[in-house]
Amino acid sequence: MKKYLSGIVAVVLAIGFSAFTANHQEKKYGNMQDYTWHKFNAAGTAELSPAVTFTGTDAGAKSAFGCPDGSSVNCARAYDEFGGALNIYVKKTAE
Amino acid sequence: MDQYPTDLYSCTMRNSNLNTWLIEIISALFILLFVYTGISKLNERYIFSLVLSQSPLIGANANLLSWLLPVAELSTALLLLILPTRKWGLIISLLLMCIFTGYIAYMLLLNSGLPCSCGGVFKQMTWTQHLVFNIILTGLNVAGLWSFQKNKLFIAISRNSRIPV
Repeated sequence: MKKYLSGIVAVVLAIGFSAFTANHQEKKYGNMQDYTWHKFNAAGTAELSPAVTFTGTDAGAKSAFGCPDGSSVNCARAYDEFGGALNIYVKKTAE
Repeated sequence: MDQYPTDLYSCTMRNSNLNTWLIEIISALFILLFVYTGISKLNERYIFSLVLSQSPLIGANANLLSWLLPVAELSTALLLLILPTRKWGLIISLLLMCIFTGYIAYMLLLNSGLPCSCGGVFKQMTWTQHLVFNIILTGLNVAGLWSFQKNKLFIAISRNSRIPV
């Protein structure tokens, strides 16, 4: 049993970390509304063509498109169910 | 026992203990890594699959890989945990690390701007940081396998010389 101790400790730590980080990310974002999100280019000046889309919450779009926290450059724009563009954006920090 | 052993047998005994500790620590590190990333990827499997589908290399196989990769990671962690299969665990983890490192290097060369398809907090890393991190872990994996071979050799020599270990 002693020989397996380090491995068991590692497994327990890993499960603890994954539970902690998963809950931490979910609590950070409050908007649970589902939209279709269109990704912007790296400069944040125009949407990608052909469109790269994600349907879900802004938190999901943030994660799927890799938009880190920030407030200056557009990362994605929300569209409603009729394909109409909305003034709802996910922004990322300029690199 | 002398504080500073001078005979060859005592020196090799100390080295064997160090090798055993090194294998233990490296195995525990990889168990921690693979269980954490495997569970994180399974928790966010839909998003993981979506990110993979945007990769030019993976594309249509994204759904299959979004299941296969976390299962492979968790299976490797299990192999590392069980002592008789630890060597195979180290070999498969080296293979996985080489594949992941190669993929990261490819994405860096492509400069696609796509998000990292990583599990958990590793999503916060840039592609370059992730490449460096993976190279370090691959090196540790190689060190672990090398220590395994050295330990095996020591046991073989001790058996042949009939000196009790």
